[in-house]
Amino acid sequence: MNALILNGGGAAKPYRDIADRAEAWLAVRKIPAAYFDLTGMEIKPCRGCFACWTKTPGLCFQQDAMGSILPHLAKADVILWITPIAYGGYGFHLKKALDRSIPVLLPFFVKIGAEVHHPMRYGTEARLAAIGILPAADAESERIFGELVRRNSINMHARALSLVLHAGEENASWEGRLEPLLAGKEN
Amino acid sequence: MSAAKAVLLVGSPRGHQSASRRLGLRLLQGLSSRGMTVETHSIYGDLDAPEKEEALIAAALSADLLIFSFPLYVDHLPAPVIRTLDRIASERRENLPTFRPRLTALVQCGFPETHQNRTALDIMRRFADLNGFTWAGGLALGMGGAAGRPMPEKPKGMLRNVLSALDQAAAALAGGGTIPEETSMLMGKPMMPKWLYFLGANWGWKQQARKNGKKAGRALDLRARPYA
Ligand SMILES: Cc1cc2nc3c(=O)[nH]c(=O)nc-3n(C[C@H](O)[C@H](O)[C@H](O)COP(=O)(O)O)c2cc1C
Repeated sequence: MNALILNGGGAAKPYRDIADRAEAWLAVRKIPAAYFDLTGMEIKPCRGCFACWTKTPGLCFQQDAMGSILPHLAKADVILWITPIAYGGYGFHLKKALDRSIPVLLPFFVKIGAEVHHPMRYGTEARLAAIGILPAADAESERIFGELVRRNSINMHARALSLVLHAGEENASWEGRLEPLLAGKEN
Repeated sequence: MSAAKAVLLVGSPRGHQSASRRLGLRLLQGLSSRGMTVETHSIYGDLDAPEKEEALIAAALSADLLIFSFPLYVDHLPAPVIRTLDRIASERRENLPTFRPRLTALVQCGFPETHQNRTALDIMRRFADLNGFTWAGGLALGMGGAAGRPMPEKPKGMLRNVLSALDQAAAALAGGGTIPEETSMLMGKPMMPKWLYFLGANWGWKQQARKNGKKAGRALDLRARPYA
């Protein structure tokens, strides 16, 4: 198994601590993880050109730091996102990388349930955990965040869970809440 | 009293080809013909030009009605649109605004189902609530690929519902109201049968690849796995 951790909150508290503990949690389970602090990475915005689907299949024409993340994304079985919650959604830094992730999809339309989506280029069906941080409880933002993660999981053919931590809660033990992520996956 | 000002921020990187841009401009046309002053800025166009970005933020802060029009990217707003929201939020916090502008959003996506845009609209509404804007309702549509073409003057053909809905929305917004639920429903009606859009899209990708392959002088493998 391979894991990928994308930290959209940077070295500031509590993001770096959460990332460290997530890494340790994976290490105990002998799952090697690639780690990226997105805040320091120059990742240009997606240009919406679909060259990665119809010109250079699987490759983005833009040469920048995203090139170091995509190979890991292609083979990740477990994906962890860490991000401040902005208006219920992901923060800018995580999102700039997600927008540039579509090279790992195929252009074709397929049906999933009653909806149309794209197949995964590498056939991976990953497990996704999204950890969102809020300064204080905010029921509506948390509802939207959970729904967004659920929608992403359909698009990514992934099983997913979302976890919201309020300021201060990162010090408590939250790793147990990641446990369902690995259920049914062989080490 | 001077005319109320509507500011459109387009959040697509695709310039003049963008469906978001065409739809947003059509809404703006309806507002301007009803007496509003209108202004358009491109979020992506201003990314590499700091002075343009400042002008965009200043315009956004001066609007009586702020309109965002963008494509759905990974079930969410395109990243640069989030950054623009962050900028607006921090400016409004610093300058403790006393007036409550209205905010609306127009979201369209490539998949055929309009409801896939719902989370993005929820995020826009949450942004409005948290930052002292009055949410004036939102518009969403699926099959966005079919909206990125020149539009007829009057509502007709495939775009008839979309164009009627944009006109209804403009009437409501120019009158100081919010977009009625029926208008949002009309906007979101499928432009064609789903199976047709589905077939058209899959055919379109292959056509595109064939064309690009020809240019490159070799057949392209659309299923290539460069990182396998
Ligand atoms: C990076 C990226 C992510 C996208 N994600 C989605 C998505 O999650 N759901 C969807 O239906 N369409 C998605 N699309 C398709 C666009 O929403 C669609 O092509 C839209 O019509 C583009 O609008 P524009 O012409 O204004 O740029 C995505 C496109 C890109 C480039």
